[in-house]
Amino acid sequence: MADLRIENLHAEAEGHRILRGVDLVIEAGKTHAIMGPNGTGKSTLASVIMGHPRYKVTAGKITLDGEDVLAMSTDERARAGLFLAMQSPAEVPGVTNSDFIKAAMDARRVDEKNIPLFRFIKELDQAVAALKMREDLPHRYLNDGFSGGEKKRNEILQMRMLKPKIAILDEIDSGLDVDALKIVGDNVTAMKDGKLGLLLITHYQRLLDYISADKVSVMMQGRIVKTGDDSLMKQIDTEGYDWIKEELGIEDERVVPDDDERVFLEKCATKEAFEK
Amino acid sequence: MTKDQEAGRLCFSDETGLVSLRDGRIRTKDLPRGVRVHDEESVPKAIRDRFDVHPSETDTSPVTHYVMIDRDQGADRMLRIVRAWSKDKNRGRVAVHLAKGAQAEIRALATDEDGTLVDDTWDFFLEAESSLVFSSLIAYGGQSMARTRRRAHVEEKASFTLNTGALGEENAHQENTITLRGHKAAAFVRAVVFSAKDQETVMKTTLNHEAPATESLIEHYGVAADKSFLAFEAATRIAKGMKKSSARQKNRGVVLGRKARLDANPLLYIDEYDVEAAHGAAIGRIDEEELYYLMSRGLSEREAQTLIIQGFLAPLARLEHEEGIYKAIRDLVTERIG
Repeated sequence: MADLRIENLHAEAEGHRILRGVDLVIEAGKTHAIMGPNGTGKSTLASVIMGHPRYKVTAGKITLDGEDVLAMSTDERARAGLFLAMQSPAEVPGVTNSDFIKAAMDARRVDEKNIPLFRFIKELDQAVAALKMREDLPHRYLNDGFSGGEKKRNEILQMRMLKPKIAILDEIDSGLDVDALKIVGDNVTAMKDGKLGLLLITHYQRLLDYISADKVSVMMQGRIVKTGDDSLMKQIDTEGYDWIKEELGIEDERVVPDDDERVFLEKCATKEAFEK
Repeated sequence: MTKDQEAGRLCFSDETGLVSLRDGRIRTKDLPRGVRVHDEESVPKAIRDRFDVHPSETDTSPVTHYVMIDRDQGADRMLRIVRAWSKDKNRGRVAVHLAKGAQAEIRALATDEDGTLVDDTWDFFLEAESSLVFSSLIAYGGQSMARTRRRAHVEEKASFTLNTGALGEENAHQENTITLRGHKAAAFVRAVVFSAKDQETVMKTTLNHEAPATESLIEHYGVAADKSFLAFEAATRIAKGMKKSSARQKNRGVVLGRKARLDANPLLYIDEYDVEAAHGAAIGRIDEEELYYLMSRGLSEREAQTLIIQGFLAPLARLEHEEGIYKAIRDLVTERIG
């Protein structure tokens, strides 16, 4: 059973202070959702937890079962049980999905032999079917030429194969139409086995219709400003974030500079646009 | 698995359609119907005349192995050619001639005794409506120097595909010259080079459009590691009056070592308005986002780097389909990333 603890975390990128004192606990077997407007530091938090080289931690600590996560390299964090389903995963032409996933699974089996090929193929085929992805996915190059929705499903497929202790899903709902969102939601829910700790980062309540959350936190100005339960989520869905800003006296909730903000067209587009 | 494969050398595991050229001698096995292989003093005059080739262009090497592929072939149209050079048998030439309408695929491997000065020439003559896919993988020793020339003459509606991989440790100069001589002739060149240590490699491809409505694509992929130097020279020429022709060039490279150098010179010489042409070069270090992504799944930096480079060199895919070669390519890349 793994707990991820984040205490007073501060981080910056290229001289911009983005995280400004995040306190958060992701408990084994629980699902914690973080919501908030654009540019408030949600994705930065996910990247910092995973050790993205762009970000520099200036204060605070992160521990996984008491182990210092900040002292680990990105790959060590992954092998320790952390997983980040990325908002915009890289495309790696020439590397097939199956080669990549097998290499990742073998990398985790430090003291064991590599996963037997037959078992791997069987597991991968099952995961491809469960996520209703194209049957040739194992032979396609990693995210290369994938639609936005396919990339998101591929992230969940990897999560399913790698079986992390703590998984962070960064806006996994963006770029997904309703049908795909349901498939992703069902798969993630099926992975909740009482041990998996989940952190969901999202703008919209609709993801939480498919993956239920035990706690909901709101992030503004690079820190958690409010935490509640289902009712907080519903209030945000109907009233937006302005009431929270008023309540806490926040005028500008953003910490990510405009230039750095990523815009994903598919977030607002129609189903047809996703498949382009 | 043969002893050679166990030792990590480049070997075909399938010996059908095998042509072995060693010490100037030809050994053949299970040649497909319609394929003849024999020695000639030089490229036959009839071919030279037909393709308007001057003898000096083809007669620089002492031995010519002549491969004739007729239209009337068996179902299996695959030829596998193995060349092994030694210090005293270091020069050779192969002429491949496809008759009108013939179709063939040739996969060639070349290895050598370390320290050889290899001088290797290939001439391809493609008659109208014929089609050839030629894939070559070269891995010579670190003390060797190699000059490889490939020249192709492509007639009307014929198609020539050249896949070439240079994964050895030798200093190398490879030169591909392709002339599209007939209406709607096409050529596709894909060259992959891995250079490391203090290697110097030049990969030069020249494509001449000498007929209207011809099509060409040059793709150069390379990795320069350690202190090596790698140069891509791509030149496409479209002569005046060769309307509706299309020419593309892509040069992509990854520089691994701080002291490594990779140059790309994509050139287009166009003397006709009614054509389509594009060229470009993208040279850089391994994408940080790709590396981070792979590491975020538990791969160490070295494992991630190796996988990305193997993927980058994936255009050798045609040869990867050969059992044994696939593993050899991967092992070579892993070993050479160091």
